[in-house]
Amino acid sequence: MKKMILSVALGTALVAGLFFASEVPSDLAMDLHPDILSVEKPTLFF
Amino acid sequence: MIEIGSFIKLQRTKQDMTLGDLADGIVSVSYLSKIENLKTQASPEIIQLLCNRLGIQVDNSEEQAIKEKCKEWYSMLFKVNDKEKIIATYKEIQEMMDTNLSENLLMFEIHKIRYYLILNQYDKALKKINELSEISDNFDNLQDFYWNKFRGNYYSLANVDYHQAMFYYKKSEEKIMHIDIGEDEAADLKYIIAVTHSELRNTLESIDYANQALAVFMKQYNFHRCAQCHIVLGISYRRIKMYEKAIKNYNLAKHLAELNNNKQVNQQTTYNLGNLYSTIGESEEAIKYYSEVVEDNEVHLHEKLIAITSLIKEYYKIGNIDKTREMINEAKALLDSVKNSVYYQLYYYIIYTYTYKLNGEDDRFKSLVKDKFIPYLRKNKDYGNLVAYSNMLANHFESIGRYKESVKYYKLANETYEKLINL
Repeated sequence: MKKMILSVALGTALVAGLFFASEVPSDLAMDLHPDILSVEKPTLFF
Repeated sequence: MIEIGSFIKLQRTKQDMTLGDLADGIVSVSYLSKIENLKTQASPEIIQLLCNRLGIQVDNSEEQAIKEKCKEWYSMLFKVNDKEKIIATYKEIQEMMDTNLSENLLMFEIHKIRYYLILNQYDKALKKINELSEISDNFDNLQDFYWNKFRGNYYSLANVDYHQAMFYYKKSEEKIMHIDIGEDEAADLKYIIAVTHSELRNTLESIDYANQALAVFMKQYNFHRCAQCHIVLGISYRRIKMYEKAIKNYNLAKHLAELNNNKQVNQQTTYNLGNLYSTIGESEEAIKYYSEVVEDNEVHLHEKLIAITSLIKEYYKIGNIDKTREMINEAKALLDSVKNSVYYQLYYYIIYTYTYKLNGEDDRFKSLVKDKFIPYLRKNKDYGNLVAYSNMLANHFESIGRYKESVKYYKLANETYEKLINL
């Protein structure tokens, strides 16, 4: 019985997961923000 | 006038002297401590003796010259300037400060934080922050304004801790109404707050602050900052799916950057345009913009690396394996030259995640993403990447039939995404 409940729970979670996978938010871009110091950086940023 | 106690404490700690070293034969240690902490007023004779031991002249004959030099130097720290000139002026002022009791000393010391940040000397900036923390209770409103602003700058740049940075920027902002500063200085803080809100994905706040700053920069024909505000607005509008408005802002940023002959700002805009087209599913257009940044030899390493990384993802997304591999190799070559950067770890994880995925090295992929990359992203509160890579790992587990683990990472992606949109 316990095993069956666990299987059902896992199945539900998996469906929810798959649903999320198909709806992966598209806007996860790594944005490049402008500098906060006005002074030009040296030739090497790092 | 500078409080003499704060001045003595600052000079003593700079010279690595203990309270005992300085007090010896002049006053008791406890009395010196009271002087330094402004709990008592010492006689002029005692002050003279302490200053003699510190090698400081108690006169203000050079005060006017110091004041003017400082003003010139502070202004250099806020505008695009030659670094060599900034360093030379700094040395000139330091020489004068070392032998004079100047009322400009505390402000000069506070501005050193920004100076070290501009020179990328983050350790020295932190040391200065720690040194000044001991006397910061005695700062007036103007000193407090810069003290908090520069501390915020430190957390933004050296620690990449935007929550902490915002905490200090807000403290600085509270001081604006109590001090007499130019519109441009207040706008500079608004701009920094706009960028920090954007880093924290507080989109509406970011738009509000960017517009406030932009209104002032436009009046002053500060094209450099106007272009930067338009980039922040472009990013914000893209996030709330107002793509036309985002493109309009990016075009304005590009136009202003060209007018100002600012390659850096121009290519930052190009990269962000790439992100916009990637978001709306126009991979070909996104690749065109990312490639333009990568192929530009004048662009800084950070911009180049983030653009190559985005090309890896974009080519992988459309299933162009050869190009993905080619970009991975280019990225690896660049990675070696940025080993000391705060961003190194992030790019390392992204590049090797795709390497292992592409080569079908399942164990290495799983071990890297699960044990290193995801904990790293959690620690750094990088929610955008956390959603992307938890989802990637969940997909992987699902594809090999390990559903329990798959669910765990889908759940993580889901919860993180909730967090992201509720920020």
